[in-house]
Amino acid sequence: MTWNKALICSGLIALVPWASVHAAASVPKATCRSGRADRPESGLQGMTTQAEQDSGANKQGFTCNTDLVGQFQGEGGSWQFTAWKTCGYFDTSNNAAQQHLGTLVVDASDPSHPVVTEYLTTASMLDPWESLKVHGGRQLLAGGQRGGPGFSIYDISRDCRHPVLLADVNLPGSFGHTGEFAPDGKTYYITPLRSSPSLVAVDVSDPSNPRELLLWTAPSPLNPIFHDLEISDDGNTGYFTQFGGATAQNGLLILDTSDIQARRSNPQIRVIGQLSWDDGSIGAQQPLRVKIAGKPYIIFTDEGGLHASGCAAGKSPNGFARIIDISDPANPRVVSKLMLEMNDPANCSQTASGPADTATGVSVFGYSSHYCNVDDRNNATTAACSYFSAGLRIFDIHDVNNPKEIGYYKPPARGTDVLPGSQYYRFAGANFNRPMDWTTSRPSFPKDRGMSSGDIWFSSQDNGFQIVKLHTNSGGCSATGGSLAPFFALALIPMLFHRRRGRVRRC
Amino acid sequence: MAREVPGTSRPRGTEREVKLRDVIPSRWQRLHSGPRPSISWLAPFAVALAVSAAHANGAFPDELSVHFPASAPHRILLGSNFGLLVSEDDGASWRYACEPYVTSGSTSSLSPANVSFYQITADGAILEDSVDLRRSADVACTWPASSGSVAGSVVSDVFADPTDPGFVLAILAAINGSSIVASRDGGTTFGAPLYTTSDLVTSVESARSARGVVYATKVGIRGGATLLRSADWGTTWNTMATLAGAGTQPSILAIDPADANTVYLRLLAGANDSIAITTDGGQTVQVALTVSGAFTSFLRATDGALYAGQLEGNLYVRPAGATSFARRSGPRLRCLGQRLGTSRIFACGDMFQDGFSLGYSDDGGQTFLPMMSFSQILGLLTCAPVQSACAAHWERIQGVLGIAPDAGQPRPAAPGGSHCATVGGEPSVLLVLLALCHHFRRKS
Repeated sequence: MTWNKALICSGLIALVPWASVHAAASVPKATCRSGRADRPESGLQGMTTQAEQDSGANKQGFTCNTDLVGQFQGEGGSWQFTAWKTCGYFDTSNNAAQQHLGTLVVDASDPSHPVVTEYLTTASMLDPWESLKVHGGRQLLAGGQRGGPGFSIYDISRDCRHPVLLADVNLPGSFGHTGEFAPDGKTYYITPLRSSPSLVAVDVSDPSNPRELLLWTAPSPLNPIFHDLEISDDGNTGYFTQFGGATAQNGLLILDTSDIQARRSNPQIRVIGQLSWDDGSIGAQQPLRVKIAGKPYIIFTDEGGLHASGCAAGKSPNGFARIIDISDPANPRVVSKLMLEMNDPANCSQTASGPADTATGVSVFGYSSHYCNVDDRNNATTAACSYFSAGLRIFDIHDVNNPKEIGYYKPPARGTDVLPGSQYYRFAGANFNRPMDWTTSRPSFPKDRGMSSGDIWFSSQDNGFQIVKLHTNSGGCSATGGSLAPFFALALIPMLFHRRRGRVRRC
Repeated sequence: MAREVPGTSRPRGTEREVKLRDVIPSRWQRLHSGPRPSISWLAPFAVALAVSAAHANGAFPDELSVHFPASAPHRILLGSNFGLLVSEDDGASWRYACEPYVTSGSTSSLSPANVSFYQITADGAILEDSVDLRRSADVACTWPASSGSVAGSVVSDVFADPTDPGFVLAILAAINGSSIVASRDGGTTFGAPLYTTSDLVTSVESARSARGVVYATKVGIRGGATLLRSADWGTTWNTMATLAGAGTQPSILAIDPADANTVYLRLLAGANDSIAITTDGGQTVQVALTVSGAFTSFLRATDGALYAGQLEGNLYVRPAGATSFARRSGPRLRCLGQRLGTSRIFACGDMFQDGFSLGYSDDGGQTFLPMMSFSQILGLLTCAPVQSACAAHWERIQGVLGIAPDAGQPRPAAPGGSHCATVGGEPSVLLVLLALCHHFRRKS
């Protein structure tokens, strides 16, 4: 970065922290590598344009500061991905047309040549939906049966390539959909995404003998339909996404889960805090608990948007991720939004009636977010988020008030390829020419899977397991620039008011 | 319907989920054994739907089940993901009670809770299960919560006896297992458990042709599906046939209305779904049909024929006296049903792709004709509580369905009788409603 660039960047960082929240604006675009190193998007941030579809460019995929290192496509994937050490795990759509049903275990010891080593086929692993999760500390892999009572848990400590089934049980009243371990790995919470129960707490202290602790339905007037969740380090606080529509029913719910953590008899759950929004981003999905510069936040994703009706109301047509300050859990507040240009109401004229919103297979999810992860939960600086048709988007979140995109990897469109394990393929139908992929899984960074180095792992529905290298030295403002901000802030005020947004984004 | 012999609207064990992706139209719903979209989701996508209606690319309302109360020979009830639709004139006209009101008495246009299923008692009372189990004795006008053992419990299934209007069975799930409880007052209150197990009871149903005969299915904590039978209203139970091994979810599709020893069962295993039949009271069970994917509907018709449908548009038919099923193309089936003693078959379809929300067949399922699409809903039920509580919802759903804003005006009751109070028909109320509709239309 040049000195001038650093100066401008730091000034802007100093002066516009308010704008990211108070104005509905997309994050600055990444500056891609020059030459032929990247295949950048030609349209709005996240968009696959009609011209790209017509030319076939979408079949090559789009990259910005990323390279594909390795891939195991298989028969396509479902919603979730998780990883541990050198192994990746992703589910498939439980389609009878698949040659191999179940959750794939992929050995990525050689990142350039990942190979499948197992197919997990318990009732839960045939279709764990979004509940497929690893607990690194205890080296357990678990998932709940979508729409059913099944729950499976595996030991991956001895050989992550060959999980050992510890328990495959049916849990009364449970309906699998999403789920997550508590940080101590002794409780697994299933969230059925139903009116009742809202959650199922399962004691997995003895993973060979999972035991239900609580079936709990959130009382009125709380929206009882919970999507994914995370639990605080001490196990006493739960962060749940309340799956709702266009009103305050959609958002973050913070609950006191200490009775469950302490294994108290007749456990009670109490509300600590709640936050919702009305900006068009709906369909609460994931609350990722992170610390940025020592302060606790939730990176929260929504998986749906209001589409044209959102645009008509001046709101986002798609769901997007946002960063929520939970320093005061009773009063969580949004500090910034990871909104792509495709999600920006300012671009509705190009997005609401364009190919993104018609019958090109984007459907209700559009360019919405789904799952995020970070390089280091305890000191997050980089976030990678799956954004359905916009692929894997990578953000610099050093400055929590002003996140910016630093790269993306949009997997190739697979057209009419037969991929029975892909949910998107099943949804779209065999003859449908799928113009993009659906990237929906939670990405994995090395630290997340117990490694000290490596690349970003994720799965998408038509391209399966992928390993992507992020080139971090291209584009974006460095963190050091921020420290210079106060010195240059005043001098930059006139410049700021006259700069067009596109130029700001080049920073 | 299964719970209302002779037809079933939806196979047991078909748990519905609320999920944005469930709310996308039929193409998406093929993925789900029982998609259960919420209108709170549908509404936001209404405009998108309107924009690209030909592709049905937004979310849209959908059906859950169809019911034919024996006590009201012209009444049809259609459970949907945005409320309960009622016709008092054999399907010629339809009104509805909105889901927010049904599930919680809410006046909101968006429902925080979703109905998992509807059931009808022998005397026509309606039961719904969402957060609470609720009962309407006045054709969807009021919905008090049931009390007793079901209160605060997770209710996973309910069955209303087809002949005894007071007898209703429910399955309660708890952390240490599940139990079967019964109501003797039509679902108003439920008593202590009749049967408790550390396993999961997955379905329960009582017979029409033999009073007191009850069947249930259960699956062990570590797998293994079993059929249970009681001959004394669930007081004592016998373990009958083992239905399947680990990984299979069993449920009862229907007890044959003419033979209490014949039970139609569903065995959902992995990516396959099967219909199994016992004809000896559960001592032995034979698999009659296995398909890829999941069944969404089942009907044991008056003439003894069996019908099973899938969202993909597959209709499997076993004519009376036949021993095997034949596949034919059908609507994208969400439910099947038939009024007891008649021959017409009703089917819930895809409003856009099939051209109807509720259709019918008079030729044994060879062809289906439209009876109603959601866009033809006249408005809210005319009783005062629904008119009051569901006004905002109706305003919203009109936009979703593309219904003309004045369509909600109550009209003279059709033969068969109005079921609710008629406050909504007063001119002053009509004017207010019209003004509101006009106002909101302009705003939107």
